[in-house]
Amino acid sequence: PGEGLGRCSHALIRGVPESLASGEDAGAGLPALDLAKAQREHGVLGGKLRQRLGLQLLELPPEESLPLGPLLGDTAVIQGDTALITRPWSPARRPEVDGVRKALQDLGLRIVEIGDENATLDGTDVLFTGREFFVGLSKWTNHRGAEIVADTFRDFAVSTVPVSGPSHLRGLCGMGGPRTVVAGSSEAAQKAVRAMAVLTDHPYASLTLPDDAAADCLFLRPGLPGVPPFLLHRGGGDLPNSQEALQKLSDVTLVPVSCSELEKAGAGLSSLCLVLSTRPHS
Amino acid sequence: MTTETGPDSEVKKAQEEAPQQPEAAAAVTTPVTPAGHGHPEANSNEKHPPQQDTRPAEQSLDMEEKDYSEADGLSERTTPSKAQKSPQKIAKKYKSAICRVTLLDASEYECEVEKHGRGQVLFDLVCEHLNLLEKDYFGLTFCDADSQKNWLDPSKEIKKQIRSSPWNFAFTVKFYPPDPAQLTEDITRYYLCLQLRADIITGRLPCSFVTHALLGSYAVQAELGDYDAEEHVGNYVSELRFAPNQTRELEERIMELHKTYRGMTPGEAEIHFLENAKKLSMYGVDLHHAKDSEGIDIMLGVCANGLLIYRDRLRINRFAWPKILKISYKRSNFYIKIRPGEYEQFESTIGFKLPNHRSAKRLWKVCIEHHTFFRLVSPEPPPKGFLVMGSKFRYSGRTQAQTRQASALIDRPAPFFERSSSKRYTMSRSLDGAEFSRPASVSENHDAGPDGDKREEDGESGGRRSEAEEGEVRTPTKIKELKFLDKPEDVLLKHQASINELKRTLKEPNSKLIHRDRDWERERRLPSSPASPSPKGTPEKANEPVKTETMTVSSLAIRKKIEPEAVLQTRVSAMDNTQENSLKSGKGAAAMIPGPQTVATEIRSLSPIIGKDVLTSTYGATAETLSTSTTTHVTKTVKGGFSETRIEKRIIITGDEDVDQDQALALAIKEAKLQHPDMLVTKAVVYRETDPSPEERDRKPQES
Repeated sequence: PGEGLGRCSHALIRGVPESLASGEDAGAGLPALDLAKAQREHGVLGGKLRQRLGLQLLELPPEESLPLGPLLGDTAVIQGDTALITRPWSPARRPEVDGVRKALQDLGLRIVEIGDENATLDGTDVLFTGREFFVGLSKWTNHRGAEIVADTFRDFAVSTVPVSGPSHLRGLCGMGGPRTVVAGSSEAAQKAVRAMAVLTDHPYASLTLPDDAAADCLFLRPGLPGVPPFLLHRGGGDLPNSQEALQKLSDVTLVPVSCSELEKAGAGLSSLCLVLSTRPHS
Repeated sequence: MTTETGPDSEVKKAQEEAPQQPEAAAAVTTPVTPAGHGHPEANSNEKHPPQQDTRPAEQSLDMEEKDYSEADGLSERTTPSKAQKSPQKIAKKYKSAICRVTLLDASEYECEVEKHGRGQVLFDLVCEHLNLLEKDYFGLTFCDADSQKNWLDPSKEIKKQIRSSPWNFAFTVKFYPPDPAQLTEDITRYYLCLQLRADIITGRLPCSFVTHALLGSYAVQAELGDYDAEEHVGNYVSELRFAPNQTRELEERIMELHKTYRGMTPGEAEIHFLENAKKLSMYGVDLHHAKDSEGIDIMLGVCANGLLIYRDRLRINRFAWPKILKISYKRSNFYIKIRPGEYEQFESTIGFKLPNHRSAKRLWKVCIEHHTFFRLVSPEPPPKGFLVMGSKFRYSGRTQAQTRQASALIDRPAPFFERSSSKRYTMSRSLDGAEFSRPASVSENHDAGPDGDKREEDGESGGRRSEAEEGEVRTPTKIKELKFLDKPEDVLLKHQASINELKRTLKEPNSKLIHRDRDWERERRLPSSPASPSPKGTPEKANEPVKTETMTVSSLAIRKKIEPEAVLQTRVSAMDNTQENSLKSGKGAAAMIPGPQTVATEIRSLSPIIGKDVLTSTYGATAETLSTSTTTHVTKTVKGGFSETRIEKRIIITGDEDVDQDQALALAIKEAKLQHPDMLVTKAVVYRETDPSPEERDRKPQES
């Protein structure tokens, strides 16, 4: 149980358009970014996924009309052979799902759509622990959206977690291993983790990091024989205190990735890539 | 009692037996045969000569008769003439009713039970017919007048539960074992699989396409055996049912998988089936419709771990059994009182609205039963919340000795059974080739048989601590026994355990209890109200308004005592001060303030009398005492400038036997001491009440 967490063969990312970096033009009051730096960070991420982790990397081209396009983690919730295409809270972001849908379809995943106009769901409000789902009821995701997650992934318990503040759930916590929850130390993060502890039937160990953003890490298991799983995490100068705390995790190879520039646009590791497995799971 | 041919010999035998065995009129099992065949009633009753030929009609007539001629029945028994009395008495005892039980493979089983027989009798018959020994996980249901499924209480008369509904039952899994691989016998797993297959088809157990396919493939392997290209041509599974909405795609996937299982025995296939089914989130969750305090439709799910709250398919809250202090119902409302969380001060009470009173009661009962069963069977629950990294605790999960102890009682070669192709699932009977013999190696290597069992019992009555304290657990079968047959012994065990604990505490040299003896004030109040029946004892209808507070789980005990409850109220210190209770809200299951009485006075932490044991003793079917306590803290500034904190603890101990007052008082003191080791007990007031009126009861929490 939980051993299915992080199984992946492919990763999907989308390039950084100029419109992301241009600040006000991007809409929704984004700050101006150093485009080159943002693109460099993005390139390094892709490189880690492909070379370090050995995944098949698919890169969707940047689209100027979709400044937040690189944050495609919000456009789908993927588990096993099923991809639920989300309905992002921000109407401006809804067209982002199209390119993602097509790519996932081409990879052979079963696609599930949200038809209900009352539902809002950002993919980074969903945490899969390997054994169950937690969906953050946040500024971005509502009860109806969460319900659709439950309806889509029927094998698993799906619990709702109230998320206070402007964060997504994944901006507060993530998985550090099949039985380990990693969370930030803000009140919002701790509150979320406490809620999850009440809701779950399973015991998890928990690791608290100084920085919320560092808890947005990715536990990945490409499944190469003899190769232990990886934890993709904020590093390379980002959040050094948290980076140190992550050393406590065992049985993972830590892979640091810096994305402090992209973070200014609201990105985290969970939003910058979608991982999936096209191999049949046991 | 065996049925014999020849009515005369039977009557004689009955006459002989009757004086010694008033309860001998247990099940009379006969296959449904023409009237007058092998039935003791046939011509023994002088009073009703037409009986012989009209037995079926007479039986139903009998049942009606019973309802309005109870007095007659009684007077019959007291008629002075013995000669006339015996055959009538016998006849009345051996009158039987036909029960129709739908089994898990959708076949019907008919049998007769004595009209006044208890549910256990019928259940035993069915299990015997099914060749099932691990019975604890199963039960019988019947539909009531509202078409709602109810569990047949084994300890009560069938008649009293069924009332006017037809005597039709369904054999069902009641407690879904969290680890089916630990069940001893294949046959038990077989029945569990049948139940789960039904659950899947009805949508009670939702799962993904992949899981439908996987489970379906194992079901096919178990039922049809190895894939055989000659036998299994085309869509050979189309007649079987695997999902609520079965597609061709699903069937093909199932066949694909089935082909890969060659060599897998049915027993193995069923284990694989169960290993996958048990992981599903709704496995073993018994759902009840309800509304929360805001009127939003929710579902309350009762399962091995506790109580789950669902809104649509989403889990919005969860209360693990250890978190729940009290479960009660009143009218159509259902309440749970839960411990304060880690960061909270006060316990809280959460209420839900059920469709009607019966539903509330049903839910309450199901909660109690699940709590009892799984607390005694499951491994020690992992600590609440998440473990902090670096803690020494290791979650060991499934492999707990407790769940294996069940197998210790079973000592027989694996029974030979055929997997009947399920009518529910097929249009026509499929080929049945399941004549495998299974080795007895499935049973665990524990001391099996009666000796092992006895040893266990002896060990416990030897004064060991109650199971909640040492993590010692009784086997499910044993639990059942204790529930229904050994109640006094079990009560004894619990009292023994409490007494032992108490002795230990009192022996402590610095125990302030001893010094404070003199200062205790004792009052006794004489039994107030007349012996109006305790909630336990009365027929449900009459006392429903009264039966609203927490009750001892006597409904699971075999003996209903129509005795007044002894209520022992111990009060330590004198003041009362109410504080606001902070109730949980905002989780979609907001607290429902249950009327004027309770909330304002339920204050601060409620500590169990004997650690974890209170939950068992509060809800365990085996305990006869119920204790609740409330604590209030008052801090006052006293003359001289220092503050004095007084704590009032009100502990209510309810039992249906004479509660040992001294013991209860000592326990109460001890508990208070444990909670507040740096405080002195200054005063103790003891009230003894018998069967308080409902009004009084309601008012109790408000008393100052």
